[in-house]
Amino acid sequence: MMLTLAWRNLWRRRRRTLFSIVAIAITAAVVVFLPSLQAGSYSSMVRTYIGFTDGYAQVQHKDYLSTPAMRDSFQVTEALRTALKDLPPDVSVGQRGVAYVLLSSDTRSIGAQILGVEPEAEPSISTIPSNIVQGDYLSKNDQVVLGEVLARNLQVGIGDSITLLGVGHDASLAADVLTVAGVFRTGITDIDRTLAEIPLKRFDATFAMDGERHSIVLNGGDMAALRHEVRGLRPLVEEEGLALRDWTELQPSLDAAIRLDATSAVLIYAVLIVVVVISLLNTLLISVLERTREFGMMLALGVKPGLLGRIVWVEIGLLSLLGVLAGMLGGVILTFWLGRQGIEFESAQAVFEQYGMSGTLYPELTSLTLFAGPAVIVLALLLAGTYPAFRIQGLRIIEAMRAA
Amino acid sequence: MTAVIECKDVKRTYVSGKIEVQALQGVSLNVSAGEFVSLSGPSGCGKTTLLNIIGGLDRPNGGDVRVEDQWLNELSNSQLADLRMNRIGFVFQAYNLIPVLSAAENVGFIMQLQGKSTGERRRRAKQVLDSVGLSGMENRRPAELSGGQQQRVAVARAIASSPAIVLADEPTANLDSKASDALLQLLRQLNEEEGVTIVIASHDPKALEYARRHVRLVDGQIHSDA
Repeated sequence: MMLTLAWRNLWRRRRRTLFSIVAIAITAAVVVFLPSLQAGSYSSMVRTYIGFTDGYAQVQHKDYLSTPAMRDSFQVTEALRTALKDLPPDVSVGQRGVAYVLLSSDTRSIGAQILGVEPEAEPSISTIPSNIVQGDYLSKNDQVVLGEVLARNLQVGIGDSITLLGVGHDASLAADVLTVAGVFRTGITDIDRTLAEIPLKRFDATFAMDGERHSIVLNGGDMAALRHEVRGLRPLVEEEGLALRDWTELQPSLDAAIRLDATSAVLIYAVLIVVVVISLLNTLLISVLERTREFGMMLALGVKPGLLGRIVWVEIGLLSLLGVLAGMLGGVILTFWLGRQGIEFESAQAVFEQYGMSGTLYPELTSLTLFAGPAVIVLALLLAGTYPAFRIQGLRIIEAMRAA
Repeated sequence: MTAVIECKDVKRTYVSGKIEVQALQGVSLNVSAGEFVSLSGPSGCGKTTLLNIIGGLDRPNGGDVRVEDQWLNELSNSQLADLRMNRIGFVFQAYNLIPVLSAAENVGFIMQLQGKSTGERRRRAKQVLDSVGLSGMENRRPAELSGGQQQRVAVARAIASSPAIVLADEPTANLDSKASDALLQLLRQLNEEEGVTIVIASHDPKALEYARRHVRLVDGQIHSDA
């Protein structure tokens, strides 16, 4: 009966109910679509940024993150090697060595970061091989690829020789002569100005690594799967006395930027929801006040105030659900459509380039972006609905029945 | 005969602004089971106030009322609601039906609150609607019924759950002469054939013709009882 009464009461003022549903639906669509757009941009930002060098996660020496020193390295034990081999094929793994060196050409000397990488594994871990703009990626042991700005500053081109000077793992002098095989462009100035990559075997020999590694990088296409695998691998890595760090630890500034942006967006959505709920509360109050006489009659017949309050609450619940479901449907359709088309933001191109992204964003629907906003709307409306429901509790039968 | 309603020195005072209105000034009245009693008197004499207090819609400032075996002053608001739902049928001046429910649903409304099954409700609703002359109108909403028909539905609702007492406050006030006659006839029939105790507050001289006992109130006191 409660549901029947609530449902029919809802449609007593058809136009008013429809306006309320539309208001809720628009709000719900906004809080589905905009967070999906943000999720898409964050995801794209993270994929792009971690794709250049860091990967989704890294196994590191415990102290390496705070003080990335040559000596903070580790041997890959048999147990770790087996665990890494057992990872599903869509998780790519690559070992690396890292050193800070002086690179010299005939005319210039510049400080740089050298990554020793496994050239055959690297294309599935990093986007550097696919961002070669001159020459080719590493194919021989004596080759080096340079960031575009670094190559320009060194005034070298493909086939030129450069000299590397640094400190080896055993604190000896590390020196080598390398041939420039390729130049890459990520669009991120810091990377393009400071990074060079050489084959890991050459790195081992040059820096006397004796099998020591600075990191094992894990990456792949499916971030959720990676998250799951990282979680599964962590106990073993910690047992080995090492640390397994995901991108949020490897790139804390990126994580902080995303969190800050998400937090400010949540505040805006909260304000939007509050404004809509308050304006709807007025409508809900009117719909209760105009039925004061009817409520008085029902109380006179023996209906308890609590039941009347619940009927009003169910009405508000039904109204919220109708609006939210319609809004979710609209939000999902818009998100899927624009997720295929992409949305171009030419004016924000410079901002996106900081993260190596194009100016086109693709909204990405997740369970969080689909359900969180609409759930908050329903809860906020039900919470607001307690006020009219509460007012009914205070009705005096005789006065209520005399109401106009 | 046992009194189903016993009013003992009932007093009710209202404060309207700075003015204190003594609506009832010590009314004592016994109504036996099966009686058809009319409450009459000039406007403001306390008819409706007395009816409201008997029905547990209002509480007296002094005195007490017993309905069947329950003294109303001893009951909480929730217990009063239960008493109204289970033992008292109301017919109000305005038709006071729930507009979104059909005639049958309005009639079955109290039975539903009482937890009666759907089948039982439907059967009883049809039966009482037939008895008030509304056969075939079960599915009509109040807006699709005339004033007289709506008041008949209200009577049907009042008697559907077999209450001990039916309290009717100016039930003919909004009806034309023909509809008034039909309604009063119906109440008398219920009283005579089903033994329902009826107390009716009315200005309408016709209503007085149908009642077998007439209580006249003046200035909140019983002026005559015959």
